[in-house]
Amino acid sequence: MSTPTAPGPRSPLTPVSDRGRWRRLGCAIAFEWTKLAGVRSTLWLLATGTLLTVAGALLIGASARASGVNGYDTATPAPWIAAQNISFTQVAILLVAVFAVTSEYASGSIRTTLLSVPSRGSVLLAKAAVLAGGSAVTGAALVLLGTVSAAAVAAEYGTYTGAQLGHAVLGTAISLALTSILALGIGTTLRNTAGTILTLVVILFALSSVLPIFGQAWLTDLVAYLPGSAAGALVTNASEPYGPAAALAVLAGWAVAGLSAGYLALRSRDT
Amino acid sequence: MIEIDGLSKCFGKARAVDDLTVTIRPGLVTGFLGPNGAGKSTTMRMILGLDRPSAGRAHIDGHRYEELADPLRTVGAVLDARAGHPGQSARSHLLGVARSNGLARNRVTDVLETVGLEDVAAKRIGTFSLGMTQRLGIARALLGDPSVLLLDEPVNGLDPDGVLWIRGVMRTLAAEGRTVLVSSHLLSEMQDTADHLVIISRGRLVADESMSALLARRSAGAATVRSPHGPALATVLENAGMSVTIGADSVLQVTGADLDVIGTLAFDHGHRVDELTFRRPSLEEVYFDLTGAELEYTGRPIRTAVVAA
Repeated sequence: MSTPTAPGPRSPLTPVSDRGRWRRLGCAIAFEWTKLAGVRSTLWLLATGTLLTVAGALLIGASARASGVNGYDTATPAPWIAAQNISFTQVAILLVAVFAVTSEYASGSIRTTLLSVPSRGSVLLAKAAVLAGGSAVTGAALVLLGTVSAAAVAAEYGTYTGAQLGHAVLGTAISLALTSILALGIGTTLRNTAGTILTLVVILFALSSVLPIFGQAWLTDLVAYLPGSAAGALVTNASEPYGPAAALAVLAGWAVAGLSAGYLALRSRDT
Repeated sequence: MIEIDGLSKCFGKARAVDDLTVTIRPGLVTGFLGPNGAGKSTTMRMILGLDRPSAGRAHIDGHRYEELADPLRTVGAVLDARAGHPGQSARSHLLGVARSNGLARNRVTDVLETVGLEDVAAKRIGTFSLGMTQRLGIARALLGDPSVLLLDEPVNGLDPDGVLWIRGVMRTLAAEGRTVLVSSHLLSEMQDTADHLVIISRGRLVADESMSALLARRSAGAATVRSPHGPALATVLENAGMSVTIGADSVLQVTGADLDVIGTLAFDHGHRVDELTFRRPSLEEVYFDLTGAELEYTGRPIRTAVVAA
């Protein structure tokens, strides 16, 4: 720290021109990206996710091969192994999305954000764009990495086609992008980290086991429309309970609902 | 210029800000004073669009904050010390804020130099002392070269050097024709810095005038009189309708008359006067005079609890 000076001659500011709506959204996105990339926790979480992906793919691939060698029919295309594995490693990516908003409330930087970008809609859209884009790219990369890892150990018990790989990569990218937006929406609504993670775990993982316990048919049917089920259908190309198009619609519905709740909360609450 | 018109904020039944109307003019440092809980921070947050007013409006250069296209080019604000992710470096933090308003990258270096943080720009904000964090807040507020500045308790946590520096910054910014609104609970700090004072208590406006006018208005007839015949002179002055209190060494504090009237009375009654001075009130006295009866959280004397056996 050196001696401060009086506010001296200032560098010229960029001229105030062409400040259209889209350009401003672009500025907001650059802001969000700088924040997300500028903190170490993001890198740590991505490193953890990568490690889990490789480790999981190696483990499942090795298991598939061992069972196959022993005469069981467990051959699974390597991309599917990788994609199924993502359902656990996605937690690391979703935490990035959660922290992107809840850490702002914890640190008070949400005020800096809203002072810089007063339009609540722009703030949320910018965050959603950065998180969805980042999650999609990361998810695609992790599926590729997982596929290579699993294929290496599973050998002939993990053979796959290019179409299978393409589907797993695309399905994972889309499902992670939409689930990240859902996480962002819940985080914006609840504002605190613990509550948001708990809610996400309940919606994504716990409810699918809890709802059938009540023995009510309609509750059990509801399980198919939980975001976890939709993400699974989107990734694995299953026709049960519905095809990829319906899965995309269900998951997008969750994302839009979460983001809308977050928008209403951000608009109506004092900061 | 900040125009506040009928601004109110209710939290449940409590009125934090109650029908506040005031204009903060450019070219001056305007001190925003009031007891804790008087509504200063709430008012500032409403000006900045962070809190929604229950009634009324606040305009900055004729616009609501939310209507400003690139708000940081118009308004710079230092609210509280916690304003960035502790894991982000100072430079990265400022760079993000600059990008959000399409500001040139070299502005970040400029403001870091202005506040004297260029040597620690790569350090994470979480490792900063409170004083450094306040400087970072000033840097962030200056990024867009704004015409309006709002500072909420900016000298909090600053060492004497920092206090002196920030006082200079505020004076310079006002001298450049900017609008500077600064809240503080440090009255002596305001007495040295502010040209104009806005005082609120329980969310209501109790004073809106220049520092000199405020002090002059309250100082009429306040005099210190020292005389070897203190008690006798006190009786004379009281008989003439003045209010007199006798302090240590029979020094009289007299209100209700000008110096020449007191001097004449003493002369006429043959009392020697060793000192007859105009007593200038401190901002504290004026402040407590204006707000004292309406303190939100008035302290009570501590009593020893009697525990029944």
